[in-house]
Amino acid sequence: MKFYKNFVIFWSIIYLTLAFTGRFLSKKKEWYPFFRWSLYSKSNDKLEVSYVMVYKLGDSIFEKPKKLKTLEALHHLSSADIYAEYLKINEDFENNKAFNNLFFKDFFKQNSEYVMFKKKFDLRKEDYKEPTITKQLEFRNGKIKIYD
Amino acid sequence: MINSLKKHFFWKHAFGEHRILSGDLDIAYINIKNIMRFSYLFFAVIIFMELQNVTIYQNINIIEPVWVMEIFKFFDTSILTFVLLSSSFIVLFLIFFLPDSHLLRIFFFLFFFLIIALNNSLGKISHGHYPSLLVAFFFTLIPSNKVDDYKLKSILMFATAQFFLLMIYSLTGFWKLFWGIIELFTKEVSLFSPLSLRNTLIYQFEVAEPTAIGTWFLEHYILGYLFYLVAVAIELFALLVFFKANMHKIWGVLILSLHIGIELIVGVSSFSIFYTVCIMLVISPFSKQTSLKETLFSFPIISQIYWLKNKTRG
Repeated sequence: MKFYKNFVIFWSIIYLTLAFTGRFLSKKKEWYPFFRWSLYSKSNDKLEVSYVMVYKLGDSIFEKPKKLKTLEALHHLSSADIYAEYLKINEDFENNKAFNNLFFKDFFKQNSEYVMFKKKFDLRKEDYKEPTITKQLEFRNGKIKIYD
Repeated sequence: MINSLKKHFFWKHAFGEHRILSGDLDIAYINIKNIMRFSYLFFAVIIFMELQNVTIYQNINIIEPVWVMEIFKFFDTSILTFVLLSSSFIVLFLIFFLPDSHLLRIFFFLFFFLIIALNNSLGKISHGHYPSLLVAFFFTLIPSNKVDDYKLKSILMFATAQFFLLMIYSLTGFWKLFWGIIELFTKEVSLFSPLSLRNTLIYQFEVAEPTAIGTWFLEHYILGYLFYLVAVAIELFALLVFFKANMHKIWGVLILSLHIGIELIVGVSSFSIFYTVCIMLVISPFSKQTSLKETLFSFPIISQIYWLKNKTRG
């Protein structure tokens, strides 16, 4: 009976410890399945969103470049999942000045061509301005070029 | 046994007027057994909806395995999905015939745990099934009827599952308040700014498809902000209703309304969370109806003010 009476306390300590430490100590920012439930907790006063335009996928050339998120039938990732990939890429740029995204390397075969851009919004005002757009990354002829 | 619970530093709060353990515990136990039976039908629906992944995962590799998937990372993703889903169905069908089997509940949890782990090892993480997984985990800790004091043990473990479900919502509210206070001093827009929901929607609609109602709220963001504050309050105070039997159904309905709002405005939804709230709170085995006045005085904050007022008088 002791186990059943005290489990709520015991499990709270374990759950919260793993959920909070997972944020800092785990590569995936959580130790499955202990999540800290911090979704949508921060407010944005500026917004930086990356997006990828695909010119060539393997041997298929697109007549007009397509946004990566519109190719869901091929990569099977939702818009939110694609966005999560962009976050990972940006973090990698910032921390390691490198590009190691396994999903991208897996999805874009050697002959593919794509460019990753970043849009920036200033959301501090009621009427926010149009975004500024900069080039972040280019993959052509099997080579990656990272822009500052 | 009940007397020892009444002295326990945590469970003693579950006794008293309109509290979860103050009603007829035999009826609560029967309700728990019925809810559990119904839950496994619901788990079968979740597993059924995962079947499409056998086809979707044909050309997808396990590229970022969560810890438990490390040993499976060289397996074919589609075949692994098929094996895990088929095994889950076999266990679920056996549970339908042998609902009291403790071992089958443990097996189901293990397969469910692996299925979600696999989904989260393909370069993305989705938390939609986590509350259902949590419930499946607590159901493995509910003993069979061959164990001593099985009724009370089952009741305590079911209530613990409810506690953790409510804790998830309180955590989401806590982080919003926590970052809100930090950002009040570090950013121009925080939880305490009417632009906060609007900016969240702008962010959301950049990464996902805009919703019809969310787009309307971009223009009428003051009204949206008021809804947002109510939503944060529902989340934040969720855990405070845990011991109150007359609040379970009400808070369950409020959380469902929260999810309806999130789906309509933000466009983020999970049918399994919705269903989990229904079985754990809306049809809570401890649920009790009280008069309008008693119900109002049981609401978080109001009840604390009422308690303080009585204490000062006393």
